[in-house]
Amino acid sequence: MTSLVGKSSISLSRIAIYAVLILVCVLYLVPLVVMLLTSFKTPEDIGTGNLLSWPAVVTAIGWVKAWDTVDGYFWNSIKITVPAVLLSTGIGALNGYVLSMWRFRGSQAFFGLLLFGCFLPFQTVLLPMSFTLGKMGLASTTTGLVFVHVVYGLAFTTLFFRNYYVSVPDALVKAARLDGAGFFTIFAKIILPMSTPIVMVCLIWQFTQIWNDFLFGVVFSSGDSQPITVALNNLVNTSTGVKEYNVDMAAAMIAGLPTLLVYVVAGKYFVRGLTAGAVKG
Amino acid sequence: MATLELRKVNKTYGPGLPDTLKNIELKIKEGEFLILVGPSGCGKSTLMNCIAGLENITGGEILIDETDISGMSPKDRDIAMVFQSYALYPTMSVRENIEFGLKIRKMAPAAIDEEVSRVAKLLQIEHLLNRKPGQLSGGQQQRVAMGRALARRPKIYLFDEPLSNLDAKLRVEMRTDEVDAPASENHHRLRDPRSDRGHDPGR
Repeated sequence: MTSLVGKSSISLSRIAIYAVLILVCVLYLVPLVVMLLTSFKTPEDIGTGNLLSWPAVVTAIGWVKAWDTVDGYFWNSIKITVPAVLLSTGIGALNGYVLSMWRFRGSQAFFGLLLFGCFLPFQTVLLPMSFTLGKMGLASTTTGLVFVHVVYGLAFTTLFFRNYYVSVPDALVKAARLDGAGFFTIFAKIILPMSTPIVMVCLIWQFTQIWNDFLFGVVFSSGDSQPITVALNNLVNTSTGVKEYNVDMAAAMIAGLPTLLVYVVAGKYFVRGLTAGAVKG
Repeated sequence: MATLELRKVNKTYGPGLPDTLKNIELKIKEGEFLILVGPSGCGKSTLMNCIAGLENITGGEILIDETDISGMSPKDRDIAMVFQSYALYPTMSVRENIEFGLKIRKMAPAAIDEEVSRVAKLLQIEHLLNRKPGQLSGGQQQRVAMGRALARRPKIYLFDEPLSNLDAKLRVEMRTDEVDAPASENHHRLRDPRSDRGHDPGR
């Protein structure tokens, strides 16, 4: 039976579909291939002009140079991203728990107002935020950037968790209260263990947002506290000397690898978590 | 073993809204079994939630053993409740579900083990103790929910339509069990006053 289906499916239309799909895949992958090939070429090799040619000499010199330049900024990004992601996810989970299961007078209005945070463009908060950071003594520090990203991310993480917890039956919390559990015990022992999919969504979302952020990084940091996105921009936009495309490409790859890694590790939860609420309806 | 008394209990959900509960007077003696029947929306669940302390009353008194408990939080009232949806903790095994309330009340581990095996034997769920609620049938989940209530040995049991999710045949079985099972182990269990309510007027 299966072989019959298999045979009949190799039709002309099937071949056409696969041809188109493969073509689109190739088109999509070309920039990545160019980046990879270029990063392993010597500057002279790049000078000869063919983007897609195989490197005449495969060399890692571009990667070594790139790492030497962005090394410190890479760790800055880690120092900013990891605490900011964990804090915003943790506080968002607690917010969502309160807004869906411990409703108070005006909590719906509060949630509505919080949602505005999702629609606020980055640019509008730049000035007030730099004022606040200055007053707090956190201007131009990685700690300051952690603060900015936590505050800005809370609207999103709260929304994620609140919408996930709305579909959790109230009776669970009632039963736990009768069992004698308090606010934080219920959260830690019952609600949080149920939250794996949405925690994954939140981690990926926040990691991608914060790691890839350029605007906050360029405005609220300087010199040694800059994240890798800003360092990459500085590297690529230097006007002195010969353009070293192999170094640029390698540095761009280094800047992009962590987000790629997060997607590979937790990606399957991302799709599952985003659609979980929708299916339950 | 306890008595339950309601004196002029009132409940409104806000100023200007109609009374949900109005001057409820009720006296349940030790060992009595009370069933609440009424059309949907008449306040059965609200009354039970108020007795359990999950909702605050806006007037009157609720007394257990002659003590006013209307200001107490649910955990201090020593009441167990079985919910229509069972409300089993989905990430915990059956054993952990039954243990949860005992652990929070800081019972000794040996005593907890003893209590879990007593309840499991009583409700014939010994072979299910390591499963998760999602791996159980409706009837089995119902028994675990009852086990969770029984294990605490509370003063009062509240059952909020505990049978409505079961099919007719299982319902008849569980109805008999609900009364018999606690009694067969130790006699005084049967004499706990219970507030119970069901959709089926035949019970």
